[in-house]
Amino acid sequence: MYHHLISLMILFPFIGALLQAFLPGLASNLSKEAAKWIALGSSSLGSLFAIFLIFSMEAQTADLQAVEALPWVGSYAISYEMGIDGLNALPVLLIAILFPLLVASEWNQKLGVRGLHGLFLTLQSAFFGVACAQDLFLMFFFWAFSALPFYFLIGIWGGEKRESAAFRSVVAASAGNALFFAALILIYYSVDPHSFLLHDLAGGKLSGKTFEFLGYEFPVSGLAFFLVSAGLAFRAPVWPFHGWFTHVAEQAPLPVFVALSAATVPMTVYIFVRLCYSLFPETLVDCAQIIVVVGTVNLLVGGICAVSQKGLRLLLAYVCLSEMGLLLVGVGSLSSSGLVGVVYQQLVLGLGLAGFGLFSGIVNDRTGHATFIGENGQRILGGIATQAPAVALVAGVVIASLLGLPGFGGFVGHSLVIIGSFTVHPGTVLLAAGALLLASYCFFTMYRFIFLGDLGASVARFEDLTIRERVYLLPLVVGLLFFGIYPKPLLELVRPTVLTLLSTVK
Amino acid sequence: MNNLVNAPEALLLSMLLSLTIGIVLIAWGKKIPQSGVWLGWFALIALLTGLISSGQVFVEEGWKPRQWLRGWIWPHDQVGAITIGILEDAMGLCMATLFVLVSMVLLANRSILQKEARPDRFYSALVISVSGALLSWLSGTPWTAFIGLALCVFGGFVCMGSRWTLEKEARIASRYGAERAWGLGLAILGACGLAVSRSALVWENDTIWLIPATVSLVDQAGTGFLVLGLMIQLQPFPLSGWVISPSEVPVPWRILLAQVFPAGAAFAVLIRLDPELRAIGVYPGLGWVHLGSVVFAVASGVTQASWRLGLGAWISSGFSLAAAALAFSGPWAALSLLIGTSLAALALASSGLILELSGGTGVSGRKKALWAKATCFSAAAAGTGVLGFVPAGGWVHWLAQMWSDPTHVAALSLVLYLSTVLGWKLAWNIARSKHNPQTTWYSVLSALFCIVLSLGVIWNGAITAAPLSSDGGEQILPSLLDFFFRETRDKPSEEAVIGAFWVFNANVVLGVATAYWVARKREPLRSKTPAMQRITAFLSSSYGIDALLGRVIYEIGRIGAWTQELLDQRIWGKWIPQWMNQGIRYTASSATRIDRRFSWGLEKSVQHAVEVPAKMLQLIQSGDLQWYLFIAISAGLAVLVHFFLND
Repeated sequence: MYHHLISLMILFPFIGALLQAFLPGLASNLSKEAAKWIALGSSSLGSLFAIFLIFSMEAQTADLQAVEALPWVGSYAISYEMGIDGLNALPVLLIAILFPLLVASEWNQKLGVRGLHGLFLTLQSAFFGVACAQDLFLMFFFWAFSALPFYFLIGIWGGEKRESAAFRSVVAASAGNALFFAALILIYYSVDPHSFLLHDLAGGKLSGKTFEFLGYEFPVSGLAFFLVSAGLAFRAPVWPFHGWFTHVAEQAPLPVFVALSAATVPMTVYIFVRLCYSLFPETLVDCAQIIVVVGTVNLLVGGICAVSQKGLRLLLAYVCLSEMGLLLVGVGSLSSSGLVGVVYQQLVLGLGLAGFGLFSGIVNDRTGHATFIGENGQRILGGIATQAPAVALVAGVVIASLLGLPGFGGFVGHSLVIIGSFTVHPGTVLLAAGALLLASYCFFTMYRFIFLGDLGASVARFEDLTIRERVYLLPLVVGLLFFGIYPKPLLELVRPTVLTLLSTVK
Repeated sequence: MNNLVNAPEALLLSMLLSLTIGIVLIAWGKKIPQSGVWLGWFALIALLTGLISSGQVFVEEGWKPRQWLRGWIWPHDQVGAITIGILEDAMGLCMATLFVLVSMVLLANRSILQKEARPDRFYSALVISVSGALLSWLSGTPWTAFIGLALCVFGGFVCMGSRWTLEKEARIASRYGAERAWGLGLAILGACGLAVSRSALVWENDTIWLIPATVSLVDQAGTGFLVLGLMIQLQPFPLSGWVISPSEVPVPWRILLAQVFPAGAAFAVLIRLDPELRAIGVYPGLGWVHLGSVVFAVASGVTQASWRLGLGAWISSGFSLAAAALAFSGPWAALSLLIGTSLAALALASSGLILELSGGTGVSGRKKALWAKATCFSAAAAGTGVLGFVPAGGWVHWLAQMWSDPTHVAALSLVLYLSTVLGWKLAWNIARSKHNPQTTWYSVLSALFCIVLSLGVIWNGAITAAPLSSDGGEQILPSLLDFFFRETRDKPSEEAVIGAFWVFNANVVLGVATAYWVARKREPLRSKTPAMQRITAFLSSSYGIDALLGRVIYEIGRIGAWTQELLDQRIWGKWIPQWMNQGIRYTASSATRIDRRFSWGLEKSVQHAVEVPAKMLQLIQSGDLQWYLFIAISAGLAVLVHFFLND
């Protein structure tokens, strides 16, 4: 039934990326046009395979589906094993929706369009690989691979301080990857026979195992958990390792920052959930409080810093930081509602952040900046709703979802995370309420300063969405509404896997 | 209660159609002929048809409530489920019909929007809001009611922001939106808390809630959030800043869409969850907070220079009174006050707007002015509960229930008096107008329709609305309110009712007299000393709460900026890279230095090790040292060493 759909969805964007690199030079315009269409086609084709795969999945089962297994490096038991279940179906869907839109959003890019699209396609392949890999080494391979394109994307197409931003992003990613790799090796040598396969390592295989260093014994599970957590914290905006993220937010092109926030963040959470719940259940239970505390700090720092923002880029970054906190609170809740909420929120948060980022990009393209309040608190933009009602509508839908208003995707994710956390961490929920109030204030202020009121001094004429922009924003808006109104099919897909994972924890 | 397998299709379809029309109007209203007013009518008629069809089935099935439930998130009978559904009962259907009728009255009064550049925005807001209000009152679960509430809030935002090109209006609209979103978010948060440990959060599950032993801390926290969130929708003090901000949005539209509909939708949840909230024990506190809010709102309203702003404060105090009535007395009194306040405010706003118009000539103009003034006083009577209007019953019932507690009676008397003063002062102020309005008779008389709807005889069947005894001759129709809450209303003793009746009437008379005295002199409080002027300014600015909130937000922003500066700019942007850079450089240079020294030492050692024998060999080779002499000396030294060592 599946016919290597996973491999196809990884392969097609990668082929597209290779074609971008090796496409023979034609007359310059023709070559550029061909490159763009090849990029869009290969990205969309990969996404279509992914969407078809998800639609053909059986609900109400926790089993891994569409499994593909091939030996890769036999002597080290590394294999190419892929599969999809309730936990990774939604991240796959997110990547499938996101990347064709990102390619389309950079359609008019003048500088190095082939390189840009090639790197986006590489990222798409890498993220599909991360989501579906069932072999720890393979997962690491794709995960580490996904860090590199960001370096070039930021370093070549970024703002004035792009070099430092690119450097900081790659340093953070390398540090994170190094820690992850150390965990991987530790895990590999701790089980007998040595294996990287997740199903071989799951089920408490690491519990009770120790690791001797300088005469001291360390529990493998605890040490690996720490290394994985720290490694992932470097890649996602987790306080206090988020400094590079806000720097990148200021310098990266907005579609690149969308890929970083809307794809990397959910993917990091996915890896964390997948590994922690299946490989280190005991440590997870012991450390749940710490996860929740880190999440709460993220929520508050993100919320408080968002209040002081005058530009869309950093506002997006701090909203992302805050939402990351909510996801961590859900992970630490160790409850079915909380965890299903986290998985669902990965999808809708990704779409919401992408929508916000792309809308910011549109503002940036039209006005040359994404600042809405001046240094002295004066209005810079304003009154755009009159000139560009479609932009105002898109922004409204995205904000409503990020705020978790009923009928929008964010409502489902937020509600489930809160339901899951309320009994376990009521204090955190109280702080989450505070963060929610701050977020509401930020978004309404931002909306007023951009869309309502007098026409801003710097906005002589603000063009409404073009057909191309409408086409690529439509899936996001429809997705946020559809996943908010009718979440049942996706929840039924996620829940059995979550319950199975929780049964191992409990 | 009948549990339905099939959805109430007519009702749901009418709501869906209405919502679609609302969205179409907001998106393309400008391009639709007549700004889409006919689409607005179409939506309202569809809603009314849906309600009639539903009501017909309700009557045919013996007046039994019908419920339709579906799991939205998880199956509907599961713990933690988020369930949606429709409950068709007498109260829901009546309140929904009332809202549709009032909306039709407003929509028909087109002269109000004559000067508006974009009336389509108002039509869209009306259609969306009324759909939301309907959904809230006919909801089977809090979650459905929240969707309705969200629609009402959105409609209110569109209405408030209809003149969004003006900075002042945009500021009020965004503040309105943010506060309502806070309220909605907190209510949802609270409902999530309540949904955690119990069966699905559905109105009919109240029996599970009424066991005190099962009330946990989480329930209390959840209830606290829920009630706080819903309270915000009632715009009590101190969240009434936007209410007393001057706005050019036509007053009746602003009142209906931004104040009455969202508050009504919130009340639907409060009334439906009344048994649960009472069991958990949040009510006494909630009641006192609202009574306090009434005092603050009235004091702020009395000092407002414009009747429009005073009216906003009066509505705010009216909703707080209804919430307090719910807490201390129950839904019977609360609904009476809510209906009275909402309809009276709408009538007062419409007549006030008419009396501001000028250009009317002749007898017709004078007659219109006279009728508008009569409507104005009738509205004040309806809102403050003069005998004959529905709030009178609520007040007497409430006072009678509290009769044995003098503190309560005194507090209620005070708030009743204050509310009456403000309501009648507004009426006097509005009626002082000398203009003869140039408007249609429909505009003048449409407000009267609201007054008629607030007559006690419609809601509790009694001519006075507050019958002294249940078997009195003034009860000419069966009481709708009794039918709504037949199981929950506690009948006070006849002696208490008589006592409450006289206290109530005395307060109203005293309030009307005071209002006349206050309104006779234009702004009596402002004309006093500078200190009094400062106090008045302080009161009319809602006690400086706005400034305080602004300051709090500013300080949070400063903390955010400081955190960002410290964490991102200094620690991660400067110090850590510097430390890392210096650390790496120092480590590298140290390693290089050590390596050089080591290499140098090694080199020297090797050099020394090689140099001595090499020199020796060189000496021998060059003939400077004879080899036999060398061997002889070496042998001699070897013999000496041997003897030394043996000794």
